[in-house]
Amino acid sequence: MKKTQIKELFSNIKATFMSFMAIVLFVVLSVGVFTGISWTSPALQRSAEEIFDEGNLCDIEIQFPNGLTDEDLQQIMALDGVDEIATGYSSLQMMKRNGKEYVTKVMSLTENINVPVQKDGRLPRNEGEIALNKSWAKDQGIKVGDTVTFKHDGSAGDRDGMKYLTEDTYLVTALVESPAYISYSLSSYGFANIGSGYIQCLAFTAPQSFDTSAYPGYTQAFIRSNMLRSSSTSDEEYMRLSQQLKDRISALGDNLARERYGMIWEEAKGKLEEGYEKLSEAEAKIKDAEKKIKEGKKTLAEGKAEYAAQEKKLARGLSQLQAGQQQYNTAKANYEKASATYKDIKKSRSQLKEEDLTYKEITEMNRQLNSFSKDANMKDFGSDNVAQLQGTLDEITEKFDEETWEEDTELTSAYRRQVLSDMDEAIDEGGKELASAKKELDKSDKKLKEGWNQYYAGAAKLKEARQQIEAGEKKLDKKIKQLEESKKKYEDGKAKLEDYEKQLSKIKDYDWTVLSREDNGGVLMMNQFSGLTENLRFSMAALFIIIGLLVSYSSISRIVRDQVVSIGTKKALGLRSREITLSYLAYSGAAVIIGGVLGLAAGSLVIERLLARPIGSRFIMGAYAPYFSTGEGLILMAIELAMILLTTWLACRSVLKQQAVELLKGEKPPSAKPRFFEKWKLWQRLPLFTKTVINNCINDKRRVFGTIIGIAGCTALMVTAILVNDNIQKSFERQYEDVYSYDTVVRYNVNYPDAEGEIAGALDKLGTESTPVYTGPYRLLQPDGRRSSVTVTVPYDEESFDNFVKMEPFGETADTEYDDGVWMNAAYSSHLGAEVGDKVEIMDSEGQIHEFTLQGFFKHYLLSNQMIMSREVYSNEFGQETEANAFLVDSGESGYQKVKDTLSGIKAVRMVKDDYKASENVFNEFSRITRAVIILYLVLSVLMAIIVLYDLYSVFIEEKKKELIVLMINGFSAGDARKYIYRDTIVLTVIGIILGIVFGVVMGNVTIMTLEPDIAYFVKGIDWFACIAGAAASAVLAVVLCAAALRKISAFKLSDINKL
Amino acid sequence: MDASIKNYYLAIGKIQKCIANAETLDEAFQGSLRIIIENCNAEQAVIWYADKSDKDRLHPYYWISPLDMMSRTHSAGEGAVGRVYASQKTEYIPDFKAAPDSFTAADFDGVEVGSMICVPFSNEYENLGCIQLITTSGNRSFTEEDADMCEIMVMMAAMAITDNEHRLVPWHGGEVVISLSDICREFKNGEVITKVLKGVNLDIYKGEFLVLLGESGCGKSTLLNIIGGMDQATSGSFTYMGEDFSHATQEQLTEFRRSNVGFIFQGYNLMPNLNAIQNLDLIGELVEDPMDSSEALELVGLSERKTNYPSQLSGGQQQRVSIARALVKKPKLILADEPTAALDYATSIEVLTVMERIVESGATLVMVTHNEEISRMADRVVHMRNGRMYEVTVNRHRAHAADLVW
Repeated sequence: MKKTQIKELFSNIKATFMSFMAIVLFVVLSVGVFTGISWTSPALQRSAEEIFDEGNLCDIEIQFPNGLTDEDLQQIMALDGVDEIATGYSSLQMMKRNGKEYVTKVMSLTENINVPVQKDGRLPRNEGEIALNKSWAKDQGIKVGDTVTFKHDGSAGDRDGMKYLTEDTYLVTALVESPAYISYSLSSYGFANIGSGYIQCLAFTAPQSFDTSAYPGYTQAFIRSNMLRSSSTSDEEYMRLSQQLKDRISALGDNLARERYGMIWEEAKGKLEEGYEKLSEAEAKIKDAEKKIKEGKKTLAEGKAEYAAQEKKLARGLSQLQAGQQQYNTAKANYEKASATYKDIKKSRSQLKEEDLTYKEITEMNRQLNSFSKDANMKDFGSDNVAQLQGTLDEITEKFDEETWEEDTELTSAYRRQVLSDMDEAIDEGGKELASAKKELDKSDKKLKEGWNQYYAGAAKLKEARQQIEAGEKKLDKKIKQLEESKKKYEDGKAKLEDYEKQLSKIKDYDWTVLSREDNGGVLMMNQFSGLTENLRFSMAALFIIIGLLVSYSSISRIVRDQVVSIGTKKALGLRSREITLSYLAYSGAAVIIGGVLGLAAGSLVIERLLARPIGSRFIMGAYAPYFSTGEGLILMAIELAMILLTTWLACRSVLKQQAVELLKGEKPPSAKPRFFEKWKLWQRLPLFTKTVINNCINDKRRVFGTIIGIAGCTALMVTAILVNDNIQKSFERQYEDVYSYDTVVRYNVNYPDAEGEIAGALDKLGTESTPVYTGPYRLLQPDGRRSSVTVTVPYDEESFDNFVKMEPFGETADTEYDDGVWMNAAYSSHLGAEVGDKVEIMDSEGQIHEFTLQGFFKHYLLSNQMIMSREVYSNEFGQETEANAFLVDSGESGYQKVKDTLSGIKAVRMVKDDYKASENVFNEFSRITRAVIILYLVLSVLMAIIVLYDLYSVFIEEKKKELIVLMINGFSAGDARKYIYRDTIVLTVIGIILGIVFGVVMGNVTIMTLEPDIAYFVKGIDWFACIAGAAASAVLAVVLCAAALRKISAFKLSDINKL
Repeated sequence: MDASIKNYYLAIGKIQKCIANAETLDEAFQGSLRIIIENCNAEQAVIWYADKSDKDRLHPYYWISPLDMMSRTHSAGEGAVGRVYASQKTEYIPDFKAAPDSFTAADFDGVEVGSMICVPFSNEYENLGCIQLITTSGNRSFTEEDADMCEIMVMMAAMAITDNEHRLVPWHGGEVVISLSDICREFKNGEVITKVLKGVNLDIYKGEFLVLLGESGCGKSTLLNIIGGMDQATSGSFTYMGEDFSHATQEQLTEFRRSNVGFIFQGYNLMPNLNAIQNLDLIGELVEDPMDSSEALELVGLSERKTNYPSQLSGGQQQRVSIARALVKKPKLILADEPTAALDYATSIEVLTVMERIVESGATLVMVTHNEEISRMADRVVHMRNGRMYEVTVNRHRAHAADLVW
């Protein structure tokens, strides 16, 4: 361009500054929006890459339930592209904390790969130490130095009778962030076949904390490849090379997995056979023992009978002995007594003299002898002689009294002598009798002693026999016990073998699950958001670009028309059309360059950051690394430049092809002509103002078109934004109004006896409606090769289930019942193109793949895949009946908390989930990001509307300036003149708004479709609120901006009429 | 030869040439007066002409002055002008301040007169009037040579007066509709102030057809804008029917335009999306008692084209619709800005004929034009120069539109 042309360009820009700025602003918006949204994703990915690098995130992960062997690892290492490998174990555990249980994935640490980044403390080094993911620990208030405990009650980590972990209680040594789990969303951690079904906590511990004997080998391996280090995870090159490596490993895995399966099978089978052999030996031994015990029992019984007889005999002997003894004792006592009496008598006699025999002495002696003789025991002693003495004494007492005794001395002397003689005889006789009694007594004593000796010998023998019997009994009892134990062991062994046999039948031919970073939950979620922004950038930027182009066309057209005389003059002066066009191209080119540069700055510095913040807050991120691509920016600017230049050329073309002489006449006024309806009486009756408005609208097509398009565009932008936001929000509400009639899910442990009955009873008592189901998380293998999660639900009471989940058929689904097959949520059909009759594959927690035929799709508005099938379909595929493990509960007036409180005492209850709240949280998480985008969209839309509408109204007023001034000269007040404009404008605005609503509804629904993640199906269709709000916003903006533009009218200089 | 004498003879020669070439007495007088002013350093001049019906009464017929002399008259023998007319003797007053005649001084009320020359003229039958020249105070005063030269020149000009050129049939303005007094208009463009009008004094009379003539940029359109209430003077006084609009608000000016003024534009400025009658209706609805639009169109000879849109009408027809639009409000004042500038001759005549009829019907018309031929139709022609009224001519014989040739 020549110097003068440049000067003219600047002069032109100055003269049409508002129009120039309108173009600049639209370029800023379209470039800014496109680049800002486009670069959000790479910026986030770069930040995430920092975490990947810091923790050496593996490029490939192999999961193999049958266990990798060292030989497998060697073969993997030998593959091209594998430079580093690490192995590990993992286990799902239930962590007990504050009366609650949390499903925890405990993983072994490796030295170099997938190393969690420690945020506090140090990584576990010893058995009994553990590191927890920081976000969860923070939520739970767990600090380094605290301890955590895992539950072992046969229902969780030790469900197979194996504990997997060596300890129950662990010391928290670190809080970490793992590069393998960058998303804060629990669903990205994966699923569990215990507890709530979702992994809630991540834990890392030293390998020695795992009981390796519980594992068939290394169940997971992590691989890093140097060839992938030159590119980042999101790069095409990385994905291509990663896929190649994945394919190589998968191919290797196909063979090794088969071999491993064969090996495990043989090994297990061998062990089983060996077990059965041992069992059979044990059975023989038990039988032998049983025989021996039987014999022993018989012998013991005989011994016991003999013992009883002997015991009886001995008792009898004892009885006799005791009688003899008693007799002996009596005899001995009598003897001793008699002997004592004898000695006394003998002693008395030796001292007794005749004179000593007084009457008193005689009566006393007689009394003693009477007493002695009356003594039964003593009556045998000296009876004859004593009787004689006694007779003598009796005669004395009969014949004499005390006085007479003394008086008759002779007689008394005779009697005295007789007494003494009798006494001597009795003493003599008594001595003899005593000696004889002593002899007899000694003989009896001897005999008795012999008897006692015999008794004691018998008793000793009997005791011995008793001891022998007791020992025999004990022995027998022991043997019986041993037998019972052996039998129990046998039964256990038998059961174990049967179980083992069952397990053997269950040993599955697992494949290696080879996962690249693309399959990582966090990366998947990041890619989901990247996809979201990817879709958004086109839908949003396209709107801004289209409307921007229209505005540019309108602005340039107006400038060209305003300068038509000038153009004519230039042509008349010899300038060629292309030279004149060049000046306008330079004009719009300058606007594009300025707008493009500002747009790139706005995109990278404002929009990119605005979007990155809410998305980034969902992930563990490194330092924010803004993304700016000069190449992309330049390409975009070049495209924008080409489009605007084309628009400019089109705008100039019609004017520049006219002859100079025509152009010099100035812009031709619109060539209105009579219309057919002007003859109608109705038309003629219309007020002149109405006619004017109608005529203006009919005849000034260019302006009318431009205005309507502008207003329609702005309205469409706002309707789109509000509709998208509103329908996404509405989707959640729709789900719980039209689809789900429950708000709470109660999961329980099926191992507890009558868990279902107890919970159902409690729920009934509370007055809440419920239906039992089996529900569990599975991996969905999508037709596009990607994986996502799906919740499988199997109703147990189909009639009541229908009251809890209303399955409105979607798409071409016939009106059939789900018991005919598998039904899936609408998103699976709408996003992945699945049709009725297609096969769908899901993978269980053990990696087994199950295939179903799709029977239908139902409308489902939550952010999750849902699969509903009948019990029959489930059992046909899984080969076993499933058990109900949950209740869908409509808490009704009781509310979730009351349901939870009511069930809190039931041990079997694993979790009472506020499904409504949980779904709402997921929705809010998603809508928080979409809302950020929508707010940005809305703000930019309003900004654009302000620019477009103000420009349109200003242009309109400028175009009508001459007419307005003429009217004002003729006596129209400024207010009248404004009416002339705004009545016209009202009509165009209303038409524009109506068209905008239509366009907005279409665009909004298209935008919703582009925003929908694969798992989502949002409400679509007309959203009256969005229509009204968008229309109202447009109308308000139109009124305000029109009023602002109309203020110009008051400032019109009527004297300018000659200049126009 | 003395330079002054040389100039003197050169001026005489010019006057002779002017008179010889003049087709009318007015042309001869006006041309001669311009030469006289140019050569004798006069700043302002007035040709006073005797009233045909009252020979003792002199009316200004042509003047070169920023003042509007129209309302001023002199009686024979009264003041310098009257004396000169009555005596037919030239008067030379070198120091006006010393002159005792207050009537003469009053002729230039508003201008501080320095010196004056007053020269009578007549035909062979009667005294016709006199020519009055002045210099303003502070400038060079007339010399005796100047007086002589003026006298000779007037005599020579008077020789052109034929028998047919009798006394003036005076044009009586009647009621003053618009009165402009010392109207100034300045435009600011940054720090630059452009004075477009530098003190215009003009009365416009009811039923008058006033033409404003002048070169581009002389301020005639600006003056028209002020007259039409489209613009306001920076200073000076503007009254309409005695009501002062000098400091009127926009609302007052709008009301003024709405009720009193009809506009005819060079570019017609019809509403392109309204047909002819709708264009009229649109404006007619502004006033309480408008003319019937059809009647207005009939007046301009377009009753057959009333449903035609502007794009279906020729330029002349559009301008006639524009005139009808101006008429429909029955305005007291019609302002026309170069109404024929965009038209060819024949169409211009058509349009001017319509305007002639309007004036004849009693409307007051102020027209801005470049075309001096059109000014022949006017009652008065105001020549503007450099933001001021330069000379004013009262047409003793108004031409008909059909007689105009250019």
